[in-house]
Amino acid sequence: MSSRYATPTKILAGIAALTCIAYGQEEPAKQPPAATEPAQQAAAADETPAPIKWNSFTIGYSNRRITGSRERFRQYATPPNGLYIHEFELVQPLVDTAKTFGRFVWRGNPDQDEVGEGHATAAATGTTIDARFGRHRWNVLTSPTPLESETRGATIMVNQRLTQDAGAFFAIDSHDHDTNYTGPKASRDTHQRIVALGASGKVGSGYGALTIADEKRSETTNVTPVTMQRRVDAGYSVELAPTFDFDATLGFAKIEQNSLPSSSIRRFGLGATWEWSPTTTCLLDYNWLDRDLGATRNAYVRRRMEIGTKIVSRWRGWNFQAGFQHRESERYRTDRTFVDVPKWNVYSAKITGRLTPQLRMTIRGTWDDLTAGATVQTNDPRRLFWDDQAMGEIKFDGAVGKLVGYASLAHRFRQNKARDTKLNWRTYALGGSYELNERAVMYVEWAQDHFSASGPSDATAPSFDSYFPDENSATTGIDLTLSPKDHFAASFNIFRGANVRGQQLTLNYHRDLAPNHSLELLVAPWQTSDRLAGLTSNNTTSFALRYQVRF
Amino acid sequence: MVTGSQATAKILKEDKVKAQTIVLFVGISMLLMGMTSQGRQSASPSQAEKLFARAKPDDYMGNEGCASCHAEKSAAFAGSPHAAHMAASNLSLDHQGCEGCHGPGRIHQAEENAEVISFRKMTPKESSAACLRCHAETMSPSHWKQTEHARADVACVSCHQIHPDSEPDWAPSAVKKGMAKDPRSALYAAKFSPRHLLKADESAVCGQCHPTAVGEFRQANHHPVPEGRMTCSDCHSVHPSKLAKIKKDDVNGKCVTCHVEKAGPFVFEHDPVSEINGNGCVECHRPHGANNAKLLNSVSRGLCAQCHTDKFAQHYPGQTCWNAGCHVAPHGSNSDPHLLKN
Repeated sequence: MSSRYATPTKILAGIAALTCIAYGQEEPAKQPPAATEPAQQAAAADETPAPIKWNSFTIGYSNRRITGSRERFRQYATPPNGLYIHEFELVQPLVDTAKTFGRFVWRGNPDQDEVGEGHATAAATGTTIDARFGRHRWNVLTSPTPLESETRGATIMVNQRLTQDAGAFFAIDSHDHDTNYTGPKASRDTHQRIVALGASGKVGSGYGALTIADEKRSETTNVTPVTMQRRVDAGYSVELAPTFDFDATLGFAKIEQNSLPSSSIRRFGLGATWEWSPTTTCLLDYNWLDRDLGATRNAYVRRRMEIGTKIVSRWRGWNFQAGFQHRESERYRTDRTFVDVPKWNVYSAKITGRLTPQLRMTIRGTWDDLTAGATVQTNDPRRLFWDDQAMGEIKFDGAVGKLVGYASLAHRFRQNKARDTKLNWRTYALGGSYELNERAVMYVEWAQDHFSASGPSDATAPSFDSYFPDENSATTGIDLTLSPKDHFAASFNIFRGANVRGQQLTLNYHRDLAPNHSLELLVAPWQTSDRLAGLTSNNTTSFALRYQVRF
Repeated sequence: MVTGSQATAKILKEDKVKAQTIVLFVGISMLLMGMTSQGRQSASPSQAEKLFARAKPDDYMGNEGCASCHAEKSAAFAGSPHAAHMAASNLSLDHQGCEGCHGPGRIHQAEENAEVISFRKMTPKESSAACLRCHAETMSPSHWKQTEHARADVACVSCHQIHPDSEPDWAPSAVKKGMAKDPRSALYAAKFSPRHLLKADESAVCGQCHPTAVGEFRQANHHPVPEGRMTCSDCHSVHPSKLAKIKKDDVNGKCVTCHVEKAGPFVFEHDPVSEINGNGCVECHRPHGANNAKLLNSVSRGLCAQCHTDKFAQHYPGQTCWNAGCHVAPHGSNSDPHLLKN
């Protein structure tokens, strides 16, 4: 036997040994009732189900063959290679059955992509402590050696009940993103830390909330200097009348950046929900924002105001929504030189309901209309804002017999009249599943993004429209229950764009060896083709075998 | 050219307009308030509110009482984080254990007017009202009513599964309204497990109603959701929560939570595409996925030429505007007004 096959053989031998142990220790598998055997089904229904096993351990062996661009294949994450822990999950009360809960998950191997997640909750005499952490580490293969990147996050929140209707919390949230690239792109390590303190509860006849947060951001490329943001947010919501809810929010933030003047932001919001009748509600919304960006020297939005209303009505299972919003932005420079006040009216509508008990239809649309133009003080004085931005969508989803599916058509439109530019973007999506029989379900999905653009021209270049390539993606697959213990799934993905095309076949076989013991086999031949330069094309075949035990 | 005094006058005028708008809004609100209080005297309380209102202390029997008939459910629920939150001894009876959600056990067992809160049998509005009895501390009923999900009649239990042993309404392995679970995920070690008591991992839950978004993640370039390194709620605030409140960004929106170096504020902002004034990051990017590199809406100079039409011809260095080494800071710069340097 060559050494190449020694490791998988050992794994298989180990799995076989574990399987034997499992069969030896456990009772014979309780088979789920087969539809063709009603007597067996009835007998099984009388049995008390075995208690759920929450913890699991899954060990796997994976191998792959790659030709072409490994970098492209490993663009976002790298499948494991060799022997690895696919998942180790512990879910159980920590100390006291009723008042504590803990969950810990670990996946991957230390020298490959690796994930660790944890969550613990404990409650005692009005205090609840909730802690979460997560660590994702992945390797991006670059010549000559793989580069490690990592995200780490932790959140600890302590909630204290002060009275029957009020409580306070203290939270610390920390996130690090260390992303490494080969040159010329600079690697980037970012760090964010938020410390927050808050209280909320019944105030008068409503609910009030106050949050104070201190946030620090830093990153190693120094594109953005170290930034400190201190924020105070307050909110109050109250039922002013039996059919009228009202809420108000107030916020202030101060931003300080190394070696730059500080900035401040103030915001104020009012909202109301007015129930005209048990089936019709009117929502009112007003938001005001003031930004004093001390460092900014070019034009920016100093103030923004939004006011809007939306009516939601339900009638015989149909839901109707119609909305209107007016938005204004005051733009001027830090030296207080006034620039302009662009204004928009935004109209929106949505109707959703069932055409038949099985078929639901949704129609929705929005239209952003620029009603007061912006001033542009550049060489070309034509304004840069879109005059109109519209979106319309019609969608059907539902079931007919054993067919469950959806179909949607969305159209987006943007135009800048001054610059004679129009962009149309249409998305078609169609998909569904069909239950061939009680043991087989197949599915098909297809989506296309079709772009059509008109705008500037250059006699020496392709048309403006050619910079907006169409895109297609499709998937089809089948899920088979071969026997109560055997499951098979096959999935085939395709994506097609102007430059990049790909297809991904993923085959998955799952077998329950005994209660709480299972085996999984996965084969995935994937192909990506870069038609423009060929530099990122690759063919990859991955193989994985996994054994899971629940305990 | 606008002079300083003209500018000041205009600003004052704009301020006046806004002050009038606030007054108008508050006035209309007060008027509406008055109208509603004069009109129908009461909106009918929710089923949960009515049930708890008629309960007496003797009607509560504790978890042990429930477990005498629902032993399996009780045992499974004890292993849920929700159980830990409902076990605090200083909670009132109507907020403790099984009866905190389902109502007093003795009313459930009563021979006359027996009643229990069954979340699967209630309307979305009633069901969500029952959850908000406790969760109003972080998300008031008023805030919930204003969310897109509430308006679309999505209930809390449409996404969340409180009893860990309950079967979700759909099987994650099968397709119903769009393929929920991306089969590519099985290849990677990294993946998000169900959390926040969701019925399945987030992308699968959200994908049931948002299949077109699932399709976008199949494109050549995408945020690493299929690979398990991200999930939907990393970007989308589905409903108000304490964490969402402390993590919000006042300058450039949600994307900068991870893309910190693009957060600003910059000395020279690319203001027309900022979240405050325009569409924000989605002015140029398709965040779920795109076949174009960097998840861009279009390729090469076509992207910038959507707005900067005058630069389409005779201003083309042969590569993209940023890759050519010129406008290397398209998101904002601290040193160059033309975004030529960081």
